[in-house]
Amino acid sequence: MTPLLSIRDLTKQFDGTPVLEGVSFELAPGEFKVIMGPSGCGKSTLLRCINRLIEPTSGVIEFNGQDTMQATTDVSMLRQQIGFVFQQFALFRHLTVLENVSLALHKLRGFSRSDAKSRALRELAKFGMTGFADKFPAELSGGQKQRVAIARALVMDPQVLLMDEPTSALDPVKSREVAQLLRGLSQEGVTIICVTHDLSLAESLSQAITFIHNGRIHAVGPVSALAQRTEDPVIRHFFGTGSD
Amino acid sequence: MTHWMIFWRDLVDQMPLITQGLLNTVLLASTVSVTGLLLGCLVLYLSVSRRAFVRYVTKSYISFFIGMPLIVLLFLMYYGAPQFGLNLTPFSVAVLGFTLNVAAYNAAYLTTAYNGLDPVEFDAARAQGFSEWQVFRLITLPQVLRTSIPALTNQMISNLKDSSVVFLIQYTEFFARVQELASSNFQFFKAYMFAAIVYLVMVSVLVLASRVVQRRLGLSLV
Repeated sequence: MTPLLSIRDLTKQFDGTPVLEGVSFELAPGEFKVIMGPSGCGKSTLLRCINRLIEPTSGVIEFNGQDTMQATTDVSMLRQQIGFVFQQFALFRHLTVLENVSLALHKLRGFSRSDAKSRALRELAKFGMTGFADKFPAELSGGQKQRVAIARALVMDPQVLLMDEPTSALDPVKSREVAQLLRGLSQEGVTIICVTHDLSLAESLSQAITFIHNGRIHAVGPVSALAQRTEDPVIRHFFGTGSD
Repeated sequence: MTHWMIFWRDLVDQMPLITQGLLNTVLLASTVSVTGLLLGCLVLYLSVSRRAFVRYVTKSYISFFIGMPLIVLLFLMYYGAPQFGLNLTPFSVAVLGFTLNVAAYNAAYLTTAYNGLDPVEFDAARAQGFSEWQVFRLITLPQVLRTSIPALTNQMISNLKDSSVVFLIQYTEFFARVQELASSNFQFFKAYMFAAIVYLVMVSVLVLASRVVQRRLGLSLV
């Protein structure tokens, strides 16, 4: 099967300091890829390179077989096909929930204001958020904000959903709810890349995780199998297994 | 009592001129409030540019016009520029000078509000596919304008009050007419108290309008 996303030898440096070094992987349609690693290992930078919020230093990122790094790439169109959910939800605080979800449909996809709101309401309904449509982000709990952020990304029908630490700002109960929600999305066929350093979330979401350390893919495999690699000091330190 | 009668008689006699002066004041203050805000927004947009040179130029603009007394700027344009063949009407000089000055202050207020925003909102908008201009227009500007309403209101009040200096460049606004009234009957105290009360009423209207706007927009900033 042709990969939806293909990343080859991706590197990113900030002021000469390498953050990503030679990262390569492929993502098939419908796949749920979980990327783990300690804070500062380059996970979020990797996600931001994929939709060109950050320009990579070198490497190739192909989306649907097209090189996204070419000067002729329509970055706006690329980003509309790649949904992004941020760690801190990043809802627009001056807009209501409904306006947050409908804004891009109206302004970027050319939907009329009423059509955009109807469609946004349908998306919110999937997440049980219809009753909060007229609320402002400041009036929502963390879990509710997360649902709105996911609805805002999915309302554009993206081909892949990038999620940056989706549970880091949530309590354990809300984290489990989000994990369940993500599993549901995956079962519906949504292609997802989820970056996290939450071990239990990673284990519950995907059979195999990609473990990044110091900007490189350090290991790939099931959480349980990786945790057994006690001879590897990096794994041992992150998973807290074996003697350190 | 006689003095009061003289003052009231002259005030009524000159009321058409004073009213015209008042309209000129309102016209100038409202014009420069709009143009100063528009240019201030443009300066803010440029001052958050990714290009260091553009940021440097706009910050220099803000520093220069905040540092220069308005009256000096007006005199430079009205009395100085004709020496280079540039003759502008008093109203044009007033609008141009005020706009340059007010925009610098407004840009500074808006920049302060901008610094209080969460940059991740800009990234979220970019990630959805919005262009830089759309991010500014749809996400940045509405928020900084709402946050800046008190400061912008203060600036509008200053515009109204400071407009009294333009009689020095031959623009006959309200205060110039009051001076004519005072010099016609030498009732200086009464004439200037009258001017003070009129300014106070206009400022009060502005403050009340600002409070209404703030109250109506307040919920979204909770």
